[in-house]
Amino acid sequence: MSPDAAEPRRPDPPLPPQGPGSGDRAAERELVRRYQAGDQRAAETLFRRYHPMVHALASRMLVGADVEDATQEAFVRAFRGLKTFRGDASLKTWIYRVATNVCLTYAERAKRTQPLESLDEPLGEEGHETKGSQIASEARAPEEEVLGGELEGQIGAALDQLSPEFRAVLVLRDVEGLSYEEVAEATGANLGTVKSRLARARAQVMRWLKGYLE
Amino acid sequence: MDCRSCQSLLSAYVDDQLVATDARRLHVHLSGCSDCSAELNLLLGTLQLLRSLPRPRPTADPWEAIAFTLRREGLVRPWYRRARPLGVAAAAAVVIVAGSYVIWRPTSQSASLEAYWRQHAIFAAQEAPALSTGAPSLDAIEATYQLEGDDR
Repeated sequence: MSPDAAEPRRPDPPLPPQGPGSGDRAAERELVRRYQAGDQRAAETLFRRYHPMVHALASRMLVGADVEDATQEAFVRAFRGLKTFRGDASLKTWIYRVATNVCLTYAERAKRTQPLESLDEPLGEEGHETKGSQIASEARAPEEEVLGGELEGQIGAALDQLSPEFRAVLVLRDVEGLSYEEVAEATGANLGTVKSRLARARAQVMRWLKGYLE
Repeated sequence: MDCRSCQSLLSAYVDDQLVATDARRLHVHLSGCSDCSAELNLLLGTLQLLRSLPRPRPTADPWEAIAFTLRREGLVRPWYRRARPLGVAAAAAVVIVAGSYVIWRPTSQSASLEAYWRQHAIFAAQEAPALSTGAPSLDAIEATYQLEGDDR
């Protein structure tokens, strides 16, 4: 064993999170100020900017009609809170925090009220299509066919078997590309908890997908 | 470092979250352990898959429902409800000025002046016979009118 051995391959850095860059911060502060003065058009501009991000998080955290309901509720709550937002934190991270809280509430409610439908449970007699792959194929535009429907369905099933808290950390970090600090801020957990939850969530997803990766 | 410790640190390792000494120890262990190297590759493959997931497209636009709630709670107002009295007064003044311009536009004023000068030319031509002989001809009237018009 040699200490000089070539360093093992590391993954590509995560994609930068969607949302405004630093150049847009001033414009964003102005939008927030106009919204706080009651400007409906400023509110709509903010909504259009963050809707894809919040919807994506809800889609990874929830299933069915809950996705749209949670997205809508997250924005209503965010706009209520935005009236007193002072801009100390990043608006993007702050909206992620509101949206994550709403998604966790919906996920807990779904868990209490009905047993979760397994995403890898076969549909129909054929038994080839799963609930997860069906959801994946419905949400995917043809030009975005990066992964096969079956594999994407398996990833959905892997995420589904995580507890909501673990799923939130994994989705924010590994799917949405937030930094550890941003994940901590969005989930309200400390950095150590984020690292620990992320390690355990990754290990579970890895076990689930092992067959596809070997 | 044993395999169990190594594998518990892999997640932080791939994100550069380990302190330098731990990263070095892990690196040394990985260089000589095929099981842990395989585990690392499995983790890297998993992350690659998660990061390549396409972002789901929204299938509905909830803006109208959100805007309705915000208006009901008094958090926003459409632009016409936010207009201030001074703005309304300024808009009214603009409408009055523009309306006056349309009614008393330059073409009407020119027509009035033209009638005035034409009348003036006829009076001048009617006074001319007192100074000369014969009735004023139409040419004389037109010529006088022309002169008066040029003097304007």
